[in-house]
Amino acid sequence: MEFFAKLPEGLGHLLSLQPLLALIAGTLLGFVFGLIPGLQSITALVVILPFTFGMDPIVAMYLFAGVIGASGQGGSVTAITLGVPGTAQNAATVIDGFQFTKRGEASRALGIAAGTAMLGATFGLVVLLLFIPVFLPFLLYFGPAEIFWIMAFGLVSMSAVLPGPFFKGLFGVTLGIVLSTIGYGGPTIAVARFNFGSSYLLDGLDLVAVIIGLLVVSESLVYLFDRKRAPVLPASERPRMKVQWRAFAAGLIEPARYPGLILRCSAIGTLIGALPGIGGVIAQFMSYNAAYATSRHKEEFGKGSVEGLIASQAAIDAKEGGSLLPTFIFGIPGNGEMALVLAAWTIHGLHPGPFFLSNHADLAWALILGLFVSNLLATGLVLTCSFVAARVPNLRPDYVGLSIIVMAVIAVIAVRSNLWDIALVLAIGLLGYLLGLARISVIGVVIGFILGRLMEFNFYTALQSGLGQLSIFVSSVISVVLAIATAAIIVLVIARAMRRFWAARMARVGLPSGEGR
Amino acid sequence: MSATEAGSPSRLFTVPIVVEVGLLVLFAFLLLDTLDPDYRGGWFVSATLLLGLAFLGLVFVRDVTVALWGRPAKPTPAADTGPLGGDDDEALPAADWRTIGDAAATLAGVFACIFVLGVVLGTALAAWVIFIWQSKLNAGKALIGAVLIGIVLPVLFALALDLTLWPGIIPQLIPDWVGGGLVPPL
Repeated sequence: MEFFAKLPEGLGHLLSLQPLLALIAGTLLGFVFGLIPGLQSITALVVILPFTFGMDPIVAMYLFAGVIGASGQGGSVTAITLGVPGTAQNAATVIDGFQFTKRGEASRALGIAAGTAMLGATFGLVVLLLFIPVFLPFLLYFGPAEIFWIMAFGLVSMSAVLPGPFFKGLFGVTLGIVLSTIGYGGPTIAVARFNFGSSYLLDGLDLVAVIIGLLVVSESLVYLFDRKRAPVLPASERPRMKVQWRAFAAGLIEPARYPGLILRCSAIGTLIGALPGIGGVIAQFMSYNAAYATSRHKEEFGKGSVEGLIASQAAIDAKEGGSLLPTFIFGIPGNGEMALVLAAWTIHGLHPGPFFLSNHADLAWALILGLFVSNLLATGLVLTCSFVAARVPNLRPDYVGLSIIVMAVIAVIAVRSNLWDIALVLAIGLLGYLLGLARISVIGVVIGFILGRLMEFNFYTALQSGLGQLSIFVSSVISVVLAIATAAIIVLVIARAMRRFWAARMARVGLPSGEGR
Repeated sequence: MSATEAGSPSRLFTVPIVVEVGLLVLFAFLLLDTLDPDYRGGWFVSATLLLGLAFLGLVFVRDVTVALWGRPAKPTPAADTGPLGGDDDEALPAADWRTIGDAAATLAGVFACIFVLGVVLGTALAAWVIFIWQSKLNAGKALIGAVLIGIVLPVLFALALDLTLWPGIIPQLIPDWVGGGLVPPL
């Protein structure tokens, strides 16, 4: 198969100087950003994004892979040693990880976390490599109608699992699609849409400005104005720790004693990662709950349970492999980080979608191999840098918030050097902040925006190939299956909500609801 | 909840409901635009807007129902919030309009400073004001933070990436850095 035939070339790239240096730099940056509470991997990606514009795309992918692969492990160091999640996705690691530190076993916990991260990441990437050959033959049968349906299916299924009501998720997606239609476009001859006389809007909203505004600037406003959500631990409460090498080494191999748990939790992480828009937080807590439900030592959970720590850590690192699957196969970003990866591809003139793997297998291998090696390097960093974790500065939330805004401004200037892009990124940031307050998921808007133009293009192309007949959208087996699956998700979600509504009503009037029969 | 509280219009003044109203108006306005006989932008957009209105309309009806007649929020998964309810959306947040106003004013202020003074001087000034106004730092400490975030950070990145930062519309003070910018067409 052509994709796997490119593996030696990918390995060759990995062993060349520039990609290797980029990977090491990305790993260091991702690890440090993960380590510092308040900074996330996506913030690190925004910092490096402007640097990647002039780079070879392969080198840029290794830089991205380094950041994405290492930030989770950096975050777990802070979670275990300080009891503060370095990144949002490390929240569940704190529950059991910090208990180890309290009883003087921080090195063992760090070893367990690092060992589990390696196994989880490997599992996710192996699953990815196993599934690529399963999907690739089907992609030959994907025409515009099928591509339209796979995107519709991805957006609807994402809305079903996003936090909050289903219809808020669906609305977020449609908002993203509508934003993507601003500027020139249309069925035949491109016409200006929703530009209200502005020449700036004729080219449409800049992809990077929209992604950074919604995901990063909106979050920076939380840091500036919602201090309660900013994770800070006073220096006086920080435990002193010294790395015990033997305990770390013993911890590193301890996850091997729980193969079933590792497989289960990594599978959950990979599956959640493959669903567009679902973050590591959900993956981690689902995995943690699953581990609790199947554990024979439930009483240890929350008190420094090895199983709890393994469950939370395996899911974080396995999800990256899963999130690459929809990104590679269909051009549907699995999470915010992947949205920025897609933005970087677009800036380099590459087109995400079903034919990406055939045309740019070398880039895909760069991300896959980069993620794997980055996790290995990050394990080394956990070992060598953990003793400084207790000295990680508590960055002031307002400093973090303002720095992020400045970085966002620089990132959008680097794309087009247009003053109005600065206004756009700030305005979109405010929109994202308001959407967050209204509990409308911004990741849904981002993914709707990324896929909106592709959906519209494929919609009209399919219509033209079907001579204007809408029946073209149900003219193949794949289209029919995807259309039914999309409708089924909507029906199932509504049915579940109706059932819960009536159960609650029955409970209020004291009648049996019929639930559980 | 007392009988006077239930159904009170003031309970509609929550952030989600106001944001939803704003978005409903926006979508309706855009939809009307696409229904114009001269519109040539294709009906994919109209259909998307119509779907968006329908989804948001359902959410709006639900939120209004909960706000007017719903019970106080409680952390049970099967709370009676209507058939469109979600797991973690039971408690609509109280409107913190001051925070939203602060956020909007901050972003508008940051852009105004950048527009007039350029990225380097503008972000520094904006940061200095924010540190004094929002963070309650004294002028000296705020100045150090502002110089670090507003001047050192952008200048380092601009030099590293060979970027030309927007210099602002004031008369030129430092070539390529402060002043002398020509506003691009909007």
